[in-house]
Amino acid sequence: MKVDKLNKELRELSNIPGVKACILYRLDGEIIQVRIPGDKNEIIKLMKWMKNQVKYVINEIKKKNLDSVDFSFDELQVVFYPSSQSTVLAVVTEEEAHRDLIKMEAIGTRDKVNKIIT
Amino acid sequence: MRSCTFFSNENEPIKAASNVVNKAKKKEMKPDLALIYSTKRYSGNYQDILKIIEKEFGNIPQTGGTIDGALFRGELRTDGVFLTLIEDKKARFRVKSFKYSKFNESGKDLIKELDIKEKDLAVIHSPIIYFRNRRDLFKTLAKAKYYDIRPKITKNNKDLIKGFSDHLYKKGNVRPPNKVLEKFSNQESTPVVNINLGHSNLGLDSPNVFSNYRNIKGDLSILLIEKNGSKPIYDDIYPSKTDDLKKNKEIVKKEIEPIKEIEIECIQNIITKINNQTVKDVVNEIDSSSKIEDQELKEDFEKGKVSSETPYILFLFNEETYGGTQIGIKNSFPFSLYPTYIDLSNFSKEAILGYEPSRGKLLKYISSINKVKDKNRFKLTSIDLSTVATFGEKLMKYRKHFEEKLEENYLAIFTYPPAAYLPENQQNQDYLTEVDREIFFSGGGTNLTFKI
Repeated sequence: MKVDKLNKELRELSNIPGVKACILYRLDGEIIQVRIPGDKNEIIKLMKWMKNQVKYVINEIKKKNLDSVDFSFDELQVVFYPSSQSTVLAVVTEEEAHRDLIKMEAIGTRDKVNKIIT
Repeated sequence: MRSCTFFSNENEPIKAASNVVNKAKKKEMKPDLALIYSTKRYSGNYQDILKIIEKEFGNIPQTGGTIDGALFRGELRTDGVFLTLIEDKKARFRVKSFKYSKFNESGKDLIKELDIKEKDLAVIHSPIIYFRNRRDLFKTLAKAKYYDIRPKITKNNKDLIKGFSDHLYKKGNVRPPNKVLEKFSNQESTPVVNINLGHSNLGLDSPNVFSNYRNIKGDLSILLIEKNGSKPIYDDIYPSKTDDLKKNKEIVKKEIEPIKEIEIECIQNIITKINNQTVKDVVNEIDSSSKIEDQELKEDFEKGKVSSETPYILFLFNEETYGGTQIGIKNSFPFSLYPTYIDLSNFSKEAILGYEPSRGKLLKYISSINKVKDKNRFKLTSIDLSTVATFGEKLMKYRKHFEEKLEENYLAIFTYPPAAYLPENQQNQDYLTEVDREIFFSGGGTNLTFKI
């Protein structure tokens, strides 16, 4: 089942130390899947903001042919990756996470999500 | 021959181990060798993982250790545990563990004790830099400080500096691959691969080595493979060297965007001066942003946060081979004596200071796989982990490249650059990174694939 496969991929990504949340959004900002391994309260506030960014992010990605869009806050970083024609993968990491390694994992997950959905 | 790699990054180490074992059992293999690697996330629990895997596969030899990530079946994973099972009835595998102190003190008797056969390929897993605990680190830093101050007030400084280098070698804090591999250099036919384990962030009791299902921490695991045609394919990112040292210097200058030509003073693995200045002063002149005090270095080591990345390199030349090595330098070692991971006893004073020669060389860092002809054999590739910081997400292109070149039956690990002892009849070209006679290594840009 596609849902189980998506769940597995997001679970593996969210297992990585430093990852605070993985969210798969539809292009209109609705959540398809979410994994929050730690403190959910911290992330839920952020998710409201993230939902409103999805459309903006998609526009930027299309306009400027980007692979991803990053936002950095005090203690968190949010990266949006277009994962298919109809979805966007968002990964929230803490400031001290090894971002190079996590980015590679996120790209791997993005590619697998693309395969599952298309 | 069959092989398969199983992966898990479950949060609980026992769950992760059980997960890979369950996946492996479904394949119904009759394996002859197990390779186990893990990223640092399971630090403190490696033995629990090994125990669970041993319950199922303990009748076969095992080697491995901690790494920063691995590539297998078109996937690049940087977090989790990797179990690779190899079933090959044409090969004979033996794994032996050595306490570092015993290995360090051994001479020719090591070859006898290992019982190396003519057709063998030997693969060593060992840290290249290792501090067992806080006490080990503090002792070494205290000695560095002492040996730093004393030469300024006495005139007898060479013995003191050599004393510091001897301390690093004896304790295994630093294990220059040319010193490790020279123990094999009097035997003519067996190539030896040195997988230098390490992580992008240095810390205490890290990396760890796994040998026959025991976490032997900073000791050595040696795998012996007896099979026709098992051999290492070594490569580096540099052009071939010539027989002329001057020409080789010009070759290197074209590669590394030189800042300047310099003269070094060194004793064994310690660089004492660059153009009569300390290493940290030379780097500070170019860039003082990464400067660090010794207390901060201690704290960062304890937290596992000392970055192994270095923005600048020295390229040094061996006076016998006319080849050489790059060594990363930075100003975050707060003493005048700068220890490196290569013994420079046979090296020229003339060197070149420059930048990492990585531009446009993404695929050169995995070039050894291009020379693999027999895709049916199992292949293990060691990739320089500096590629992660250098190339970032471009590294994902490796997935497709490995699938195209090797198809299946491979595992590639991200760790420190590998080294090799290659008897003359096993050398494919005149590698610039010949750091001692028949010994090949560089502080960056080497890669190695060995096939079973």
